[in-house]
Amino acid sequence: MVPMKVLNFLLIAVTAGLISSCAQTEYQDVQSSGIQHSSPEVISLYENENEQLRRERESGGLVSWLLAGPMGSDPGDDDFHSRHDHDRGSSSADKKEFISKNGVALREGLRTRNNNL
Amino acid sequence: MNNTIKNKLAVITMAGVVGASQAQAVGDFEAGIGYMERSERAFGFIKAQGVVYEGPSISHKIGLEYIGYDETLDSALDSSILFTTLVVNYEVELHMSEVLSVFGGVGLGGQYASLDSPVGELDNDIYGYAQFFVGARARLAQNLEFKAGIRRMFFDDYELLGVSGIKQKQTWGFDVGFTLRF
Repeated sequence: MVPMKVLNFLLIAVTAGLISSCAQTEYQDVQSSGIQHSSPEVISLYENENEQLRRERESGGLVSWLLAGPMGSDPGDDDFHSRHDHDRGSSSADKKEFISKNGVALREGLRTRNNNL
Repeated sequence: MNNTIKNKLAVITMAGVVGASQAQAVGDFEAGIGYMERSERAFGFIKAQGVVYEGPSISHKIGLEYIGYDETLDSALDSSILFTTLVVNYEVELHMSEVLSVFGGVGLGGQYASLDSPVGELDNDIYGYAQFFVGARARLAQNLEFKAGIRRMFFDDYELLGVSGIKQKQTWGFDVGFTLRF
């Protein structure tokens, strides 16, 4: 029977291995600076390859997904934030309205709790 | 070294490993429900504890416990107060026999009171909480036990919507649950 401490260590090691395997791997731009003398078509092939490598990096891996997804930003973010601020303001207004309408009853209920104890 | 001695040594080693892993509990998870006699409210709790010292028949543990319950403030307005408690406990457990143990301890922590309404949380407050407790555990299976206990619960005053000094008077709490040892 394997001791619990060894099992815990193995579990942590396997989990760490899975997460690290999802990490981005370094890539290097395919050298295009040394081929200035080549035709434009050849240079564009290398540039396309770099762009493809860049897209693969951004689309793959758990860490990449986390960075690019929920925590990432995109061109629509400004719109999102402005919409979010509007929604937050609306919710806060509802609460203020609720308190202004019912605050007396709520506070009376809180004071009554004290008196009944 | 002949095969017979090797086999005997292997059996003794395996028995020692199995026995040691079963005797030295690292800690336990506990969950259950309780009842507060003063407010006549039910509460739920979840607890995780680690053994910091273990003797022949005694265990010293430190753990973190979550206690949750709510109380209706105004049923017409559908408003209630939600109480979330986190407390650090110190427990001493005496193993009376293979199937029965008794325990006692103290806890110190904080409680979060949230005034809830149909439009969301209106206000909240954080204040102190303390408890002492005693109880007993009875073994149901190898790592599973039934637990029953009594605790005395102490609360600081809190404030909501500008009403200060709202009290929760100290109360007895009776709880039952299950303990999973690991």
